[in-house]
Amino acid sequence: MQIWKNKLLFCSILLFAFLLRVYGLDHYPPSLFSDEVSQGYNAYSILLTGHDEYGKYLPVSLRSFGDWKPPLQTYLIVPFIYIFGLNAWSVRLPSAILGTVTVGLFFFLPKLILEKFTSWNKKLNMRVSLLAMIFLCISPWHILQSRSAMLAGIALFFTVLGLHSFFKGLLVNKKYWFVSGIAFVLAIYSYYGMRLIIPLLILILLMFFRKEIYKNFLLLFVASLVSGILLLPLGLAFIKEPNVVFGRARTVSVFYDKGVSLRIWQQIAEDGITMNTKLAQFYHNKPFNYLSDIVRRFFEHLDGRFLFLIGDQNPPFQIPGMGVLYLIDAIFIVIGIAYILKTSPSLFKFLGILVIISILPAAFTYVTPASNRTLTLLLPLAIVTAIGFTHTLYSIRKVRTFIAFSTLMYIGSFVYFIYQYFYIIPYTHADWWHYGYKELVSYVKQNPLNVDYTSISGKASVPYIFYLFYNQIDPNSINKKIIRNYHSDEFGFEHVDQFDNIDFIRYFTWEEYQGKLQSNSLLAVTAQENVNISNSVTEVKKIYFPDGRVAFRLYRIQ
Amino acid sequence: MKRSKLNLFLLGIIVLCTRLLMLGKIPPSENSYIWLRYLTAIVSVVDVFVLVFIIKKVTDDNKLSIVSGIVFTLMPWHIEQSRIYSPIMFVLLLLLLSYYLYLHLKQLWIRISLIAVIFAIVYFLDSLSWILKFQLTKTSFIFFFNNLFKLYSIEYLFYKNDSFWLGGFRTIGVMLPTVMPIFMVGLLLSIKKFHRKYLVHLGFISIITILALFNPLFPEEREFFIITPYLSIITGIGVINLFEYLKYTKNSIKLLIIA
Repeated sequence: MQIWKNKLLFCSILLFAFLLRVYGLDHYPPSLFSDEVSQGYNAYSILLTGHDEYGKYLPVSLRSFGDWKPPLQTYLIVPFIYIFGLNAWSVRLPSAILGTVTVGLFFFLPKLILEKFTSWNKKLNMRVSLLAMIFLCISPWHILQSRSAMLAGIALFFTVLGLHSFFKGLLVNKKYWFVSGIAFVLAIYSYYGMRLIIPLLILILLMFFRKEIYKNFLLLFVASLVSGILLLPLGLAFIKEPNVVFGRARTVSVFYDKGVSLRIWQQIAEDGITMNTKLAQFYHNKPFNYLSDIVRRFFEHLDGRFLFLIGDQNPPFQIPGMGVLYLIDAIFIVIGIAYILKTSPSLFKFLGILVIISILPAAFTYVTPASNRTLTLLLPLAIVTAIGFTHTLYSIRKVRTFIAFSTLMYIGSFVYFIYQYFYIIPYTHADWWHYGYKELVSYVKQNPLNVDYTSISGKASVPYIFYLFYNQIDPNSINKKIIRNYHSDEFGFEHVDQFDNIDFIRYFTWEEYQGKLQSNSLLAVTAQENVNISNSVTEVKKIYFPDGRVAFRLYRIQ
Repeated sequence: MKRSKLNLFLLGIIVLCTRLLMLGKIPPSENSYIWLRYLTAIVSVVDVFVLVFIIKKVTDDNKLSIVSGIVFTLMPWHIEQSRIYSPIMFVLLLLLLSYYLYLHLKQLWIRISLIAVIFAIVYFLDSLSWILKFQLTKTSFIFFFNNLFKLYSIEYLFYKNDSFWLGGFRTIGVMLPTVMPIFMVGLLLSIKKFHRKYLVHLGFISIITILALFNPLFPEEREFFIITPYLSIITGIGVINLFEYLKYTKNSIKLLIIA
């Protein structure tokens, strides 16, 4: 009876997770982000031609905007485009489905970890696993990533699969290590951060379980060999083009940002007035400052304000008015940490190392705290929260009151999140998700005014890809008509100057471009950019955000 | 016995050097108020020794008391507050002295009276009059949690202590950033070995934290300064355990870690 009850509960949670991740995928978030559009169009191009937008045959890294995206998400989108066509559903569905499967898989992973690291009874392990699954199911962090094609969601799936298969191999059947190896390799093909996380994770697993591994060394060696073969394409591509591996890492790293260098310069300049300059340079040196900056950025991801109050402030990963976790999780995380520390130091060590590994790639970037780069942090946190909750449940006398109170708190937090995500973001913060481009590029394509040229400002995003995606431009023809600019901007992104008769102006100012705009042309700018209206410049259309603010203004130049 | 006296003597030298050397020049001061700074500096010196004696009394661990004393002595926030006129330094001394006396006195009524007198003095010294004007209904729930997470963030503790009205040190928090790993070790060990008899201290830390959080001048509040002895003890635990772990390591490496 209990088994059927658990199975029913499991299926119910899984169904709920599916609904949360799939419902209204084309409207929530309100529109496709530029990265999603890029992956969608490249998938479309690969489906039709076998090449990406740059003409590269079955690439192991997508150049995209010069950020060299890992390819797996794009390849996963291909069959969905074949079935559903080129639209938001096709782009986001793979992530949503794998996000749901991650929730299901996450029921089994904590059970295996607890079985390996603790001597807790099976009933307790089952409770913790079920709770961890529920916490992941309703996690705002995971829902946001699952409902968008931003790479991190599928990377988490393969990481969970890899870990699950590894522990399954340890406890049940060593042949699962083949699955684990393949899953880890696929995680590397999913997201940049995994290129650091997965090798470290494997190293940690080898260290923790060296005795078992040594006994089955041959099997593990063969599994590694198979995984290594799967990594060959990436390795070969790296030899031809190092940007395949380091492209994005280079432009987001702390060493690319001038912040630390400028700070050092300022401190030396200030202190050099009263002390010897060499001494000032010794104290304000680069190694210490960079290390200090990296450590600070590391701990930003463990700051309560990021986790529970304000979350990730970088669009489009913001959830207004809340953190990446629910506030009530803070209580159970603290209790969970204290309990694990006291009762199972080995589990604490393993989860602690998992936390460190999860944050490490993000700590080396200058855009922190970053919720997408540290999504794997969710795994140890969900487990710790579940343990904290379970321990509290077993420790207090008024169990029913506690369950009622905590359920109420979680329902309240969840409802608040749903309100923010399904109402506030689409209505008030549609600009975070590049809303308006669909309407804009459709209007440009239709060309109701019969203009000869169009100029679109690139202030809000990288407009060319929206044009290609929403108008389903034939990939066979784009390379003849596109003029690319391979000079990276301050964020490391490459742009397109022109496609056919459309100019994409990277840094538009009216003073600079008023004389350069062609007659009988259309100009599209964002609401923040000024255009002087005159006899030859008339506003013809406005594109609005759902809340009534202007997204784009279109002017006819005569 | 001789060794402990020598340790105390050495500690005294460090305390005096960091508090009294070039007082009035670093930071600069008008001569008419220099006596206030000397008073605060002397109080801060006494603070350190009272803390050492308290730890010795409670834990009976000579090593922990001296190491915590050194950490407390070298704590940037404590040095900063010692070298200016700082009412909170007097508050801290009063609280440390009251706890020290509490440990030695046995009669309950004397203990209660002592606590009442001490808190009355603390109230006036620390200008806690804002408490009477405080309206909970006007304080937001977000304000409370934002301040709480800020106070116990790595950034505030090790990188940027902005409680001083000029913005504090540019690159240093309550404690030195290099102390961070040792503090972490000490914190984890403290949690692991936490005993119910320390619940009173946890309660005290909570009260001080809440006072600090609701101070309308936050982050430029001083109440959190009262927690600094606890931070020193936690770091001291970390130091001792680290050196225990490195027992068989060469002295040169130990010195490198200290440096």
